[in-house]
This record gives sequence, structure tokens and C-alpha cells, in this order.
Amino acid sequence: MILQYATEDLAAWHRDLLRYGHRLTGEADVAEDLAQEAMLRLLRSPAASRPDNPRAWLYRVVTNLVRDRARSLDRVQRKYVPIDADEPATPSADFERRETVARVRAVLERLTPRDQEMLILRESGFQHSEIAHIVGVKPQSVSVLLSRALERFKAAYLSEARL
Amino acid sequence: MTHSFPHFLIEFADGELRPGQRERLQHHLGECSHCEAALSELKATRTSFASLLAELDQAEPEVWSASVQAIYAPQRVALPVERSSRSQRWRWAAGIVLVSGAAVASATMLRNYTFSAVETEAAPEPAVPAPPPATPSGGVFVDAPGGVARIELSAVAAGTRVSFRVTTDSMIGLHSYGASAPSFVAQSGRIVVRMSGRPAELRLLVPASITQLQVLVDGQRVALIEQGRLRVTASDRRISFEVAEP
Repeated sequence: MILQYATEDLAAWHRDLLRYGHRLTGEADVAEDLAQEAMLRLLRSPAASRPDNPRAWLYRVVTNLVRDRARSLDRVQRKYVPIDADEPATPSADFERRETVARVRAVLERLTPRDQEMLILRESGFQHSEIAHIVGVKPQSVSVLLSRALERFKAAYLSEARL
Repeated sequence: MTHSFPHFLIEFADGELRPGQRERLQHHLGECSHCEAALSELKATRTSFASLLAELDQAEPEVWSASVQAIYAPQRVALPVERSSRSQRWRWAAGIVLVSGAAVASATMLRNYTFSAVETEAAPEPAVPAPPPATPSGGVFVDAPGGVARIELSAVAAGTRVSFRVTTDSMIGLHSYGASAPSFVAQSGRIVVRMSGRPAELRLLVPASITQLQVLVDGQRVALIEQGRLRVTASDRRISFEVAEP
């Protein structure tokens, strides 16, 4: 099989997706699942139907997977079982990490999932047309939706800061 | 020009306005303190959001960068799997089962392997049962630049342990669906998945640099991936290996 993509690009995209998944869910293991699933879908897609903008395409896949996961979260109980933990994580480092994630996620979760997606995608450097494609909205709506999302973020940020 | 709507300011800040619009708004901002303040506030809010994300990013597992680099390592292992057609792949797979199921052949094959430190830990002596009549088996599909071994398990008792042992200094990613195990990337050593009793699918993202990986079910080695080639070393109806479609 001949790859159409440079390995450097694949590695960079995979790394970006890990970060995106982590930003959206706050869970490292979930982010790994999502990133790998998206990369597998890209690599397994027939050469003729591979996307013109693979990075945006991958983000769209992860976005949809996160939405699917959120929908089924009540039905599926994920378990994280550190089996054969020969090298357990340092308790204090792990605790600090979890605290940071919880604190940041507390602010983000005051936003709607779409608000989070749009703001994170904007910070990931996507253009408005790409954000529209990834999130599934009309391109001309992006700036309005971003504007409202930013307003809601500001309110959430200030509110969380007061707590 | 009247005060700009917030979304125009966002388009301005993001460079999404057409040249004419941009110049008009730029001119307006020079004259309107209200809109200029709104733009500054928008930028400040964005900075706050970016700072928050940066905090979250700092809590990412450090292993990610290294593991991704390992997965997309430039060296590649070519699989000796016939891939010209599905039927050929299955014939190849069936051949492996038959060969590995045969007692003499299996014993000879296993003696030829020299396992390093990981193997001495439990030193499981694989049973050599008679080959099943039509056990589905397969190969391991290694998609460039790394590979994916898709392993499905069914009818396994709760608590069954499936181990993956890596004897080289490589990182592998394990992603499980339906098993009671985390999805993560590990560097050499061993990953153990404890089955929940339900059918499960395990996917191993195998970097190209890997030279040897063992798959064990309850301590019994059922497969060996060596030099990019899958060898089923003991028949076990509970586990099947599928060739992933490219």
C-alpha cells in the first residue's frame, strides 16, 4: 500500500488529535481511542475517496466520535483499570494533573459542546470555513456562533473565578 | 459607519473579512473608541481561553509525543502476507493454523524462537491441541507506517487475562473495546487485559520498529508476531485474528 501522506504529517495530525480529544473530554485514555480511531479511518479509506483536507477531516471524525460518546455515556460505563501497574504513576503528580484537568474542564463544561468545539477549533488554527465543515454548520454562521461562544465563555470564566 | 457587530470583529480579528470590508472596519476602529474597546475585550477573552487550554495541554500525558513518533517511525516492516485477494489471505491464514496446530511442526517452530527476559517471566509452554476443523484465523495487517493487529475475543470467561508481551524496546498502543482494560501506549514489557466476560475487540497499534510481540490468553501463548509476521502457536477458539481491510 502506498501512503498518500507523509509520515511527518501523520504523526503531527495524530498528535493534534490527541490534544483535541483531550481538550474536549479531559480524559487521556479517551483521547487516545478517538485519535486512533480517526487515524485508522483515514488510513483505511480508499485512495480515491481520501479527503482533500485530511486534517480538517480528521478533526471532524473526532468531533463526531466525541458527540457519539457523549450520547452513549449513560449507557456505557467505561472502566479504567490499571492492571499490572509495574510502574505506577507518581501519586502527587497524578493528583495535580487530575486537579488541573478538573479545574479547566469545570469552566469548559459550562459551555455547550458546540461552543467548546468551535472555540477549541479556532484556537487550533482552523479557518472559519474549516470550522464550519468540522462542526457541521453553515460557513456564514461561524463568526456569529464564535461570538456567542466567546461571550458565554467569558461569563463562565468569570463565574468560575468567583467560586 | 455604525458600531460593528461582534461577529464582524471576530471576522476582522481572524482575517476572514474581504479586503474592502477589512479596510472600512479598520478605518472605523480608528475613529470609534467603543468598537476599539470591544475588539480589545474580544482579544482579551480569547487570550484567557487560550491560557485555559494551555493549562489543559500541560496535563497531557508526556508519553504521547514519544509514542506517536514511535508509531510513525520511518522504518517499515513488510508483511509476508499475500494480499492480492481476500481468498488468498484466508488460505494463507488457514495454512498457518494447520501448520501451527500440528504437534511436530509447532514444537519445532517454538524451539526455534529465543525469547528474551520477558519470556522467562512465566515461560508458558503452549499446549498443542489438535487443529480445529475450521477455526477462523488470519494474519496481521500492517498498514504503513505502523500496523494494526485487530484481535477479537468471544466466549471468554470474566477475568480471563489476555497479555501482550513486547520484547523489543518499542511502544505499542492498545485500544480495547468491550474488555475491562485501559487504552494506552506502553513501552515494551507487558500489557494485560482482563476480560469482562463479554466479547471484545482489541486493537494493537504496532509500530514498524517492533520485532516481536506475543499474545497470551491466561498465560498460554496463542500467537506470536515476529518480524511483522503473525504465527498462531496454539489453537484457541476464543480468539481470532482478523486481517484488517486497508
